Amino acid sequence: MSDLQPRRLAAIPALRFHRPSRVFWLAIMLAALAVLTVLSVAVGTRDVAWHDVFPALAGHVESIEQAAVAVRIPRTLLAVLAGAALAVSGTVMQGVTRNPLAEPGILGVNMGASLAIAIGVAWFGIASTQAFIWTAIAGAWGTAIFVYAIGSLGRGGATPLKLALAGTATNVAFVSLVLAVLLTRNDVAGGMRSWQVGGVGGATNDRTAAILPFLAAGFVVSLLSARKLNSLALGDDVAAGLGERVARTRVVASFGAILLCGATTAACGPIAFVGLVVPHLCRSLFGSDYRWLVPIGAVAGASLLLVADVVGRVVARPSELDVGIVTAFLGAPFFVWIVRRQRIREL
Amino acid sequence: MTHHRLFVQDLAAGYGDRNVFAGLDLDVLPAKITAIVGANACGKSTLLRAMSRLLPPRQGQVLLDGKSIHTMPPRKLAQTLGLLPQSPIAPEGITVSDLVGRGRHPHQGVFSRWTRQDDEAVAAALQATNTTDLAERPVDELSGGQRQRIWIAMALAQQTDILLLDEPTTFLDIAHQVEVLDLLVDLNQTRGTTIIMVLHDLNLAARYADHLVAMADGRLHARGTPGDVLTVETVRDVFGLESSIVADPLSGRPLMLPIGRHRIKREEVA
Repeated sequence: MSDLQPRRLAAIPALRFHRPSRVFWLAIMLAALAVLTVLSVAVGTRDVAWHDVFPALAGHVESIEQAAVAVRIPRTLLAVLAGAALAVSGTVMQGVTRNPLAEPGILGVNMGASLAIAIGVAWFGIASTQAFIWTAIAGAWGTAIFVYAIGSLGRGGATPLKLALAGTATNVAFVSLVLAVLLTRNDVAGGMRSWQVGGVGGATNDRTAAILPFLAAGFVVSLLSARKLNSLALGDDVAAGLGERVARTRVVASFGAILLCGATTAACGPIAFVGLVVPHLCRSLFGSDYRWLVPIGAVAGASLLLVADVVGRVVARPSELDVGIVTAFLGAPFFVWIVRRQRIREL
Repeated sequence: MTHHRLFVQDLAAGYGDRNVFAGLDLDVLPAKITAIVGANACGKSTLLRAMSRLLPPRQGQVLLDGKSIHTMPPRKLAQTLGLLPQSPIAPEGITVSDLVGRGRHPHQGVFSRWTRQDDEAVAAALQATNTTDLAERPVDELSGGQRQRIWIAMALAQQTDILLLDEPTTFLDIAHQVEVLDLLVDLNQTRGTTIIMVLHDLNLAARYADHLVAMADGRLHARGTPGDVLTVETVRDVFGLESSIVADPLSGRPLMLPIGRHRIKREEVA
C-alpha cells in the first residue's frame, strides 16, 4: 500500500478538477446575462431613453415609454427561464442518449408538445394555463418515447444519426399534423399561429408563474442527475460497473428534461436549437462534466434566448420576429457544422 | 487482510432465447489472477458479464461473500467489485485526471464533495499505471496503450478488492499487452487484488495467470494452474487445434506452439 501515500500528491499539481478558466468563464457569462437582461428591457421596437427605463423597472408607468418597458419585463423574465430550461433540457438529453444531436427541438419533443396542445385546443377546448402545461408535458413524453423507439429500430440501436433522423422526421410530420388540426378550427387557428412559431412576446407574469414549479422540478432533477450522466458518458457497461442503475437513471433524467421543455413549450411554443447550441458551446469551454454543464447551460441558455429575442425585436422594426425564428437562423448552420465535423462521435 | 470471495453457482445466462451457458460453477481464488480462455463465442465474455451484473442470470446466482450480487445495492457492489468492459467510451475532450476521477463514483453520494481520499485514490491510480505525467492531457490525444492504462487507472481509482477485465489487451501491440499484464500483476501483488480477466492469447494467459479456466461451448472444460490446464489435449478439445507444449525458458510456464499445415519440420512433430 506504499503507493497510497499522500505525499505523492505534490507531484500532481492540478488534480483538484477546478480549472481557473471555468470560474473565469462563469463570471463572464453571469456578467453577460446581467447586461443582456438590462438590454432586453431597454431595447425594443420603441426607443426608450434610459431615464425612463429605471423608473419603469421600479414599477412606474407614467409615460408611454415607461409602459413599453413595463411590458418588456415579463417577456424578459420568460425568455430567461425558457432559455435556461431549453438549454438544460438539451444538455440532459445529450447526456441520456450520448448523442451530440439530441435536443428537444431536433428530437421532435417540442413539436410533440405543440401537437398535443393543438389537439387539446381544437378538439377538447382546453384553455387554462395548467391544462396547457400538462397537455404539453404529456405530448412531450409520448413523442420522446416514440422517437426513441423508432430511432432504436434496426441494427446498432439508437445511433446519433438514426435518432436525429427519427426526430427530424417526426418533427416534420408533427408540423403538418398541427396545421391539419388547426385547419379544422379556423376560429382558434389565428391565436395559435404566433404561438406555433415559438416566441416570448405575449408573456404574462401569471403564465410564467404557472410554469415555474415545473421548471423548478425539472432543474432539480437535472442537477441531481448530473453526476449520474457523468458515469453514463463512459458507456453503459462502465456506468453499470460504477454502480449506476443505467435504465433508471435514463428514465429519471429524461423526465427532468421533458418537464423543462414541455413546460417551456406550453408557455412559448416550440423553440428549437437552443438546446443544441448551448451544450456544445459550454462543453468546449467547461469540459464534459455535467455537474458544471447543467448550471452553466442554464446561464448560457438564458443569455442566448435573450439575445435572440432582442435581435428579433430590432431587425424587423417596426414589427418583430418571433424568437423561434431567430434561434432557427442561428441554430441551423450550427447543426450543419456539427454534422459535418469529421465524424459524429457518441458523447 | 481478508479478501472478498466471488462464487458462481449453477449459473445460466444468455441472449435472446438462447442460453450461452447453463449450470456453471466457479469458485474464484481470492487474491489470485484468474484468466478465462477459450475459442471465439465459447461464452467467456458472457460469463464475465454475468459475473459483473451486466447480464441478469437466467438461473443460479453469483455470490459475493455469500450474498447474491443481483440483490445487493449496485453502489455497494461497485465498492467491492470493479469492472473494465471491452469498449468503454471516453467523452470528447475529457482529461485523464477527470476520467480517472470518475472511478470514484461509487464512493460518492449525490451531495458529497470531492474529498482528500478521492484525490489520493486518483493519484495512486495514476502512479500505479505510470500515467501521472499524462494527468492533464485530453484522453483523445493518447495512444491506444496509454488509453488502456488510463482505463485501468479508472478501475483502480474505484479501489475494489476484485477486478474483472474483459480482454484488457485487445487492440494493443505486443509491448503494450505485456505492459498491461505486468501492471495487473503489480496490482495483484501490492494490493492483493483478485483479478479475473478474459484473455485471447493462451500463452500470455499461461504466463501471467495463477489460475486458468478454459471454456468450450458454454462449459468449463478445464481449470487449474497453467501447467495443469495448458496441455495438448485441452488445446485440441477447446480450440480444435493440434499443438505442442514446451516449457517457456523464461518463466518455466507452459508455452503452446500451434501445429498448422505448413512450415513445420515433420520430424519435430512426430
